[in-house]
Amino acid sequence: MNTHAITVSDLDTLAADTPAARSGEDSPGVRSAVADTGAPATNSPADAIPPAFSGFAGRFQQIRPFVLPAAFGLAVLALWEFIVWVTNYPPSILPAPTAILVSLVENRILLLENVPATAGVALGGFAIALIAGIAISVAMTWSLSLKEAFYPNIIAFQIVPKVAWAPMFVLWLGIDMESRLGFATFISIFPIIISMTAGLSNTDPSMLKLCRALTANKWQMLVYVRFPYSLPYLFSAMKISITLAMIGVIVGEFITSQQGLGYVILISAGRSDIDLMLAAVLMLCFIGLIFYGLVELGTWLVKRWFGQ
Amino acid sequence: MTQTTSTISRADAYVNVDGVRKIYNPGPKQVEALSEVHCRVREGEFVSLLGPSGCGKSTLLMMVAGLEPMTTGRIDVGGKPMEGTREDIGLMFQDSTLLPWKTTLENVMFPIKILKRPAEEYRETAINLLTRVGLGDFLDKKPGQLSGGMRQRVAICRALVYDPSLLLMDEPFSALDAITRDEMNEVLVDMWQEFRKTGLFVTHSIRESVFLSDRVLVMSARPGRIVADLTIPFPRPRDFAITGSPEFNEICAYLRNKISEQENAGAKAA
Repeated sequence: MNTHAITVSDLDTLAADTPAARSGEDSPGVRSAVADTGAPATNSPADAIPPAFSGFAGRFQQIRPFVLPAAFGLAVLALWEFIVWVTNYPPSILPAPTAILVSLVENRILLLENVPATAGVALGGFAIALIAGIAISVAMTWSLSLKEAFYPNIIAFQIVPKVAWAPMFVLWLGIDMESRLGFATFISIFPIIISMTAGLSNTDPSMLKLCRALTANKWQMLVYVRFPYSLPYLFSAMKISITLAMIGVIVGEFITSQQGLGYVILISAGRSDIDLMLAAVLMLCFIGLIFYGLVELGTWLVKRWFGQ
Repeated sequence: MTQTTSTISRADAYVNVDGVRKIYNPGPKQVEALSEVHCRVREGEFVSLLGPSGCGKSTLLMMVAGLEPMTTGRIDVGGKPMEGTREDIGLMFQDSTLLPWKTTLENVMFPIKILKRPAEEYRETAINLLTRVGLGDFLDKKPGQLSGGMRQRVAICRALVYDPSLLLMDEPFSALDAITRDEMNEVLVDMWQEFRKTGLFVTHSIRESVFLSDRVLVMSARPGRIVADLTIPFPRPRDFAITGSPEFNEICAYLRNKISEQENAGAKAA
């Protein structure tokens, strides 16, 4: 670019040809023509703005993410109900959704009585997995040799189908709550460790450089930077982990328990009370949704904290 | 006209870079990033390191910051050799590197927290700095709510709040659009006028280096070394209007020639 050959008056003539979008600045032609990065002015001639959503169509656009899945779910249930009703399918094999609902209401006392055992142990196992998982991840971030020694083993171990270990826990921890708590912890800790370790080491490298330049120590970097940066990773792991904790408890209940929704499922299946069995499954569904919802709420709060 | 060694005496130099080399992967496949760099910066002087991408100018800056080990040579800042990072040095990166969950004010106060200095003593300084760069009404906003230029203003304030004597800037405005970049150059030149730190500024923009600096050091392509040392004669305080003067454009053209000479020499050697 040879600026000597172009006079300011030439540039003004050029500037006069540019779209009105640039008219807000003083001497726009000179500045944008000589700035050596050569990036164009940000405003292009106004793109066609889509007409604002209004009326029914607009409101539908807003509620669409809720309406569509609900409508789909209800349609499947209606189809199920319809098939059972039309084909006269034996209710001992496939009961109608309404029959399950009736059973849920009739057996509400029995079902609710068994919620705390299942939900409590699942939450307990999840909580231990969360705390222990964070502690292990922090330790691995703290010491590179610890991470090098430990992390590949965790990955290798994680590939083994963890449900296969369930009987071991009964052997080790007995047939009471401890074995189910232990197994729920075991099954739900892996996503926490893996995500949290990734989160702790995926902090913006410039941010860590800045901290080092400010003579920050390891502890300050962990508390002020690495840990907060890893929260989104932690919450996405928690979504998987809470679900796995529930699976862990149910598997445990299948093996040994005398209480809990897993036990109800097993007993009702034994009695061919498929209505009750599916009502218990429905109950598990509700609990799972509540847990998931709580983690979602946490995720939303973290996102808001991040200013997103 | 090529001056590879600065005429500043050792005693006058606030930053003294002496025979610094950087070699990656020493051995048969070694890559020489910097070859024998010598340069000196006076106290209160603003010096730009200008060079093509990959010439090692950022590496040199990180070595001055104590963040990158050098293969040979030594660097002294304020008469003391650099052995690791120090709290009398402020840093700015290409990215604003703000903590996304902290407000503007909290981000500016971040160094105070890290350095364990009393927050109440620096709060006013932080607010004054932010007001000075036009962010007085944005103290409680988070980085996500600010534009790119605003975020770099916050980064300037954060680099100044703990009163370092040397400010190191690694292409701080290169991710901004041209118009915002010009604005930021004006902000920086004004802040410089007021705070009078010693500054080392890495850039690949010729105009930016000329507008901001007292001296421009031109670096060659890899392996980087300093091939020209040009004093910029414009008096301070500086106004953006000087960028339109023939003198300004002559200096830019001179520097551009220096860089293309280097590129041609590099092409012949290769």
